[in-house]
Amino acid sequence: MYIIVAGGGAVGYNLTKLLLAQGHEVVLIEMDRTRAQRISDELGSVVIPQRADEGRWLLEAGVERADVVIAATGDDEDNLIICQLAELLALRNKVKKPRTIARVNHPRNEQFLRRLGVDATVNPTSMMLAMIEEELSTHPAVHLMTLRQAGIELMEFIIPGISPAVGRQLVDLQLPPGTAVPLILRGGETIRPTDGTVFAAEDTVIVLLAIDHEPVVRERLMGNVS
Amino acid sequence: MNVLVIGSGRFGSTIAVRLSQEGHDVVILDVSSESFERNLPADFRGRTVLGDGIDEDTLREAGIETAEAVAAAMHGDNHNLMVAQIAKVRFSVPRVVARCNDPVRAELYGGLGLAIICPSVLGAAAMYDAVMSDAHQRRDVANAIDQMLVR
Repeated sequence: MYIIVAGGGAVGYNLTKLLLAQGHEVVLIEMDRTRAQRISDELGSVVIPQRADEGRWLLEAGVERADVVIAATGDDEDNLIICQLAELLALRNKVKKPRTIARVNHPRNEQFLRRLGVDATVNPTSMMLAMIEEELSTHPAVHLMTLRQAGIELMEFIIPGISPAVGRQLVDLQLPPGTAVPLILRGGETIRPTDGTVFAAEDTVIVLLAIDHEPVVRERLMGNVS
Repeated sequence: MNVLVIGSGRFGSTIAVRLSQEGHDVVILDVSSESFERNLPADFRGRTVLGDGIDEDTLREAGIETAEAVAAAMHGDNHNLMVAQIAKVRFSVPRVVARCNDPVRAELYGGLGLAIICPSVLGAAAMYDAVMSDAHQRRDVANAIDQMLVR
């Protein structure tokens, strides 16, 4: 495939290197001349030392015959405009539109960029967040309210996928006496649980319990996490 | 009219001050409070909001949901083109105008239905008119504007 990479920072540079190693034809556009020169010295004459958000350099890079344009700079607005320019230039010159991929840094921009015509977005921030959440399988348990005099508290647990509670009925969890589960939130739905209610991963469970019972309840709902 | 001006450099401030003097409700947004101090007069009656123009929360705080017009007048073309699209697509602001210095980008995005003001083309047209003042009736600037705006 013929691929244009815009932005030769850590992401764009490594991507170019990997794509070249896989046998693709790649051109990298990097506006910092020193950086562009350094990458040229290492990877050969695959670098255009210019701004990728100016149409003429995208044309010079051969955007009209590119299969894919990857905007990998550190700024969301630059990545949006680079992808849109690639599309607009193809439209103007009546050639097939390349597939556009943008690196997005602000998670909220991801959907918006796709709405504005970017074919695919990659968001390192939310990817790292998802990985961290997976690594630290301890989903939070939140203390909503403590009635200290009565010795009881209201807590919120989010059931992790690895919890032994997943797929089991409320009654089977054998929660300590006096523990009440008044509410489960699943997706947008609210459930008033009965003994036969079956737990699912990612359920948000509201529990009223004796403060002393917290460790036991936590283990039954969340699994044996430290 | 409720107008939101994004970018308080010389360009944006000039627009904001004029609209405010004419009695419009103006909000001006910038990432730096220094820009406000440097470019807005002490008696400016509009509201200033500090923040990034492509951040939706900031735009909401600046009242984009009730704005009748948005002028994206920051220094960076890409910033302006993105804000203009957020204003138009996400918030359905009736009138959106963006500043774009690069003539190529200005032309391509004009084709997308955005009203783009290209200061470099306008400045060159004005210069041309001034140079050729004996031969023409100074029509170049007007023609350039006609080509830029989607009316």
